[in-house]
Amino acid sequence: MKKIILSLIIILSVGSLFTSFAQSESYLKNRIFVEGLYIRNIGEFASVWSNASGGYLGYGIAFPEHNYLMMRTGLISNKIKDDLNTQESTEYIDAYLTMIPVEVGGRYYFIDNMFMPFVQFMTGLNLVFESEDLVGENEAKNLVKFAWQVGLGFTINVISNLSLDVGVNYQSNFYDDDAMNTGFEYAFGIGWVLGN
Amino acid sequence: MKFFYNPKLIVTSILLLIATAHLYPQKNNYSYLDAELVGISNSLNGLAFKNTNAGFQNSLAFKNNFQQKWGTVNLPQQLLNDDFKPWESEKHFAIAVGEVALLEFIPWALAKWFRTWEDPADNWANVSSDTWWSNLQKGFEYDGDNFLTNNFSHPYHGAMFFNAGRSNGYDFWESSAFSLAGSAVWEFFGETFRPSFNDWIYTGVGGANLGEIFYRLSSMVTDNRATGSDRVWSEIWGSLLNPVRGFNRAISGEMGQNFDNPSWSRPEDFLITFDGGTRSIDKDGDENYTSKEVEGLFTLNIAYGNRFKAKKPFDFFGFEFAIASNQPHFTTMNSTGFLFGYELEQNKHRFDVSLDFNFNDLIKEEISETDTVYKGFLFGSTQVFPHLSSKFPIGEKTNVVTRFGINGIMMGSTPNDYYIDVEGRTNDFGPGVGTRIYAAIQNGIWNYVSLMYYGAWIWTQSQPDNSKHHIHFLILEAQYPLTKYFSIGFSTGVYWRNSYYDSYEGIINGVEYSREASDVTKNHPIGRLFFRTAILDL
Repeated sequence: MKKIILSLIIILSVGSLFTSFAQSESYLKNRIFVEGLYIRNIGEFASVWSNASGGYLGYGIAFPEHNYLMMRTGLISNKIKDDLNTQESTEYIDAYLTMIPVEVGGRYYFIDNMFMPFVQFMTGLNLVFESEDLVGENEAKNLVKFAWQVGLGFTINVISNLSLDVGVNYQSNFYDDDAMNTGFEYAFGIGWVLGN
Repeated sequence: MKFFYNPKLIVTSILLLIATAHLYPQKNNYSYLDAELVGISNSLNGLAFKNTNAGFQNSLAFKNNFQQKWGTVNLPQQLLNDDFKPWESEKHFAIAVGEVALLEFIPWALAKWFRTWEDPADNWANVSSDTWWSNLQKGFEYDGDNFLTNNFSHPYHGAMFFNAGRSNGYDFWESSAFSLAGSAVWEFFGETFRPSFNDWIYTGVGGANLGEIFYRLSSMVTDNRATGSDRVWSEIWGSLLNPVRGFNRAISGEMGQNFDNPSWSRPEDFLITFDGGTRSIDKDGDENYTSKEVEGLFTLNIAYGNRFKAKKPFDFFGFEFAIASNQPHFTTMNSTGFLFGYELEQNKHRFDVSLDFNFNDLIKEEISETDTVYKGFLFGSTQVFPHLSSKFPIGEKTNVVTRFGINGIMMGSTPNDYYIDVEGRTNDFGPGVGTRIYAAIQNGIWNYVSLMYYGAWIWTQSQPDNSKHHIHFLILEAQYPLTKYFSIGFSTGVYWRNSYYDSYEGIINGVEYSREASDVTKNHPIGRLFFRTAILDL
């Protein structure tokens, strides 16, 4: 297994090096990307679910000039606040709140270079699966809620085919009228050129 | 030094600065004051200049030819300033952002320093880092503003944000980011209120729709080749339609330059019709049909471009604006604008996606001490409309035109039969989906007969939620042209709504509210008699 992974890495790296010599003038290209994320929840929502972690898998299509259309999905798992998950409040021990985002949006890259800062906006739906609601009623529910996120970040084009993405986003997703799923998301990922 | 920190002084100084920006010394090679030029033009009057669009020159808005009139002159191609670079040919990011900031600042400053508040605690402009953080923490909600504020005032403000981008060199899609971002900044940081999601959609998306329509119309009436009083009036009309664009033309010196009009600014097809007549609506929507309301109705319709030739956003759009003699006087403002599409068969079948905006406020709600007697007859939507558009020739100039598609409603408004918000909202908000079918027998500019069905499900997201609405419009219209530009006609139809309410109990805007589950059905038959005249056909 290790040999297969190592071989894949070598093939991808060598391929990237070769293609880097034949690089076109723009760094903005269609890419498939994988991102890991950590969300620090805020507001009423954070009084029960303190933070979240997960990842995205997505695809970005480059448009002239500096514009980037993105589609992504993923998995986000919220973590219950530590002081609620104690022996005194055992009903929360098995609580989970998992979201599958299905989103579209875009980036505007300020410059087209090796280092490319951007603003990003994503919107869509969160498929929400939960076993506890905010008042502690043990009720498994599936919800579909609106997702809204805006943020800043940068892309570093390591080699022509491979890029690193770093971003900080503010999110105001719908959840409960008195406790919207608000928070700050920190994302780190890699992108790979796929398509033109 | 305290004098310089007087907020009123600061605001006045900024407004003065804006006003004096118009005095920017403009380079004008062909000023209307230039007597020599008028002389040259007079000598050219006898020449036949190339007429690129005969339709325009036969219209009320554009002169028959480039000859001198009322002491003014419209310049021929040879005398235009070829070296002048139009302002919108380049992107001006900093100025666009600055204008969005100014458009945020002006209403905020008026509320903060100039409006008199009975209770200063109500002043929503008293923002601080605490209110910003609070808004970020709480996130979006649906607000309690009334229908007119949400469905007209916000889109108009959004149209200004949009045009800060559009008239600084950005295209439709890029400018939409300005209206969406401008609205988001306002919602989170411009008010003490919690950010409103419906405001963001109406301002951001509705603003893009209305903004592009204003941009296209202002570009159409602004004639860069004109001089003298023609030019002054063209700039005035253009600036009234699109104040942000007028401002940019002033500060860039474009108002004083003579250069070619952009080719896209004069559409191949353009039609304005005006209707006058009466409308009868059943007021309370019950089964007796006894509370009929008859009123005068005046409607302006604009059809810009040809939907079968559209390539860029809003190359084709339709706009309808109606005033009624009874309240609510401002009764209708509907628009549809081409976003993108694919030609399936040349000039016959297309698949298009349009961005639509619907504002229909047909009956004013009447509120008794205990409850609302009539909840009004209103419907609003900001939506996309993917559809199949077809044209079937049945005669030399006669076609059957059809459109069939899906209503993808981003934000819909429809009455809530039980709830009145403390801030005035009587309607529910929510996304929706439905269908629209349209068929007409068309001859030239007239539709002899047309049939339209619009249906949608709206799922309530605003408080009180736990409800959904199924709405329907069915309208049959027929008209007979008495002359080339004048017709008489009638329309008949019905608006009906099935609203399904589950029980609700909660606190909304600090007020306890509860209701039992009880469904409601409303039927409002509508009839119209009208005359219609084509006041501009290009």
